[in-house]
Formats: sequence, structure tokens, C-alpha cells
Amino acid sequence: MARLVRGLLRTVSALLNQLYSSCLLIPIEVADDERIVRAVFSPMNIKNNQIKRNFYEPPIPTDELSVMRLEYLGAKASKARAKKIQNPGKGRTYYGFAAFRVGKVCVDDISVEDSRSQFCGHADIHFKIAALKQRREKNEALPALEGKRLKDLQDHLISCSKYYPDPNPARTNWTGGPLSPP
Amino acid sequence: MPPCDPQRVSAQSASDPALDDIDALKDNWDGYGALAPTRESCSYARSFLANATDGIPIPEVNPTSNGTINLEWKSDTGTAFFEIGKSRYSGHIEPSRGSTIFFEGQLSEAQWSLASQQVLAIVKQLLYGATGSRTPAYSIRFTEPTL
Repeated sequence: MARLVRGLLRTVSALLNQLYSSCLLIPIEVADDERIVRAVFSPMNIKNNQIKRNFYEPPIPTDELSVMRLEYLGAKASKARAKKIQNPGKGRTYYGFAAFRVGKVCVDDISVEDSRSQFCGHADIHFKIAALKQRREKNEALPALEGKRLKDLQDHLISCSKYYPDPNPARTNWTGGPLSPP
Repeated sequence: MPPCDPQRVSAQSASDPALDDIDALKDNWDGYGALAPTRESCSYARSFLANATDGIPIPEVNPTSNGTINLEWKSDTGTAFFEIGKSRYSGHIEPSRGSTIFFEGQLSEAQWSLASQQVLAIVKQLLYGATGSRTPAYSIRFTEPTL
């Protein structure tokens, strides 16, 4: 009997691992009540313990910001992902997270979409500004009108996000309390 | 992309702490693939800040993920935002009363001094209440908002 139970548990465990590794347990649609987080790596993105606008600037040639789906990854796994990216020798140090609720982020010109091809639990905040992909040139200023549109959307993200500095960045676990953005 | 060149820019203006830090940024400084600021953007930003000493607070200076530099002023009467790229600049001034003013243009040694003086004059006038006798000649290109 015990052998049968052990075998059953192993099968169930293997099945769950397989489901997780193929990301089948996470819905593709990002729900409004989900929380998403974006890791902070540069002091250039923080001022007086607040996120600065340049933290919400998509890298060229994209219109998207990388985030992690907190409800599915959890704070510990999100932190582990962030710490993989950091490289203090090159000026990238993990500082903490900006957290959002998807429903607050999404306005007419912003959407949040799953992007599991990066890794399971990854998503992107998309700015619906065509110029970001079509007219932005490397190392050049955006045209004035599009620059203002981007600035307004970045200000919106600042207003609906909350910065959670990590009190113990060296630790594996997240010890900064609940990540509960407005 | 090479970072800002302190030797080149130091000849144009005194050292600015924020720009010194920006000088030191390398590619991917934000962990998300940001470009290091170009030497041209840094050089133009330094010369702009060198001009911005007369009656205008020093703006907040920030690098962007695209290797450009943003300058920003906030006052009780509005905000001004200025992005300096490798060969182009753009921005807008948003007074709390009245329409937003958009501007953009090419960066060149010949045009830059005039353009920066004009932007500073408008910022000073709209955000810091200057009522100078000299009306700025707005030869920089202003864009009508079409939003």
C-alpha cells in the first residue's frame, strides 16, 4: 500500500513539474487583479526612495517593459530571476521591485501581455505608441509629440506603482513584507 | 557605443555631478538593455547646463534607455522637458495655464548655442516668471500639437 501511495505521489509530482515547466498552469491572459513586478537595478532609476520616470522607458527598438507575474512566480522566484540579471561589476545591482496591479496599469495606450517565451511568468507592459517602434532611432530624441505621449504614460505608471526596496538583497528570500501596490 | 567623453566636455563647462555619474554608465546600465549615453549627448547637455545659470534652477538630469539625456524643470507654473540626442533634440514646455509648446531640431555646433538660449529663455519666462525686455527670437522649430 505504501509503495502504491509513493508511486502515485511521484507520478502526480512529475506531472505537476511537467505542467509547470511547460507553463501550462499559468493562464495566458493577464488578469486585472494580478500583481506584476519589475526589478530595479540602477540608482539612476531611483530618487528619494521613489521610482523615476526613466525606469519606465522601453529599450530600443521595442515598445515594452519587462515584468514578472507575481501571483504565479511568487516574490522569492521573482527575486531569484532579478538576481540572475544583476552584475555589480558592471554597475547593475539588484535594489528591489516596483509593483503594480494590472487593472491600474492598463489604460487606453497601455496593455499587459504574457510573454512566456522569455520565461514562464514573464510578461510585458506595452506602450501603444507607434513611433516607439517605427520612428525612434538609436541614440536620438523622440519627436516632440511622441516624447510627450511617452512621458504622460510613464507618469501614469509612476502614479500606479509602488517601489519596494529590498531590505536584504543578499538573501535568497524576499523579506520586505507583502508586495501590495495601490 | 562609447560613453560620454569627460575630456571633451570638460572644456565646455564646469563639471556637473549628475552628468559625471551619467558619464560613467555602460551599456545595459539598467539591466534591461539600455544604451550608454553618447559622448555627443553628454557634451551638448554640459554646454546647455553651462548656459542655464542665469535665474533658472539646475534641471533634473537623467539618462534614458536610448542613450539620450533628459533635462526637466518643475515649478509652480508648469513643467519643461528636454531630450538631447546624438544629433537631434526635442521637448515641450507645459505651463499650468495655456497651451503646451513643443519644439525639436537638429543639434549642431552652430545651432545649438542659439537653440539652447532660446529654450532657456522660454523656460525662464513661463516657469520662473522672468519678464525680460528681450523677446526671444524663436527660430527653433516649434511643432503645433496635433493630439
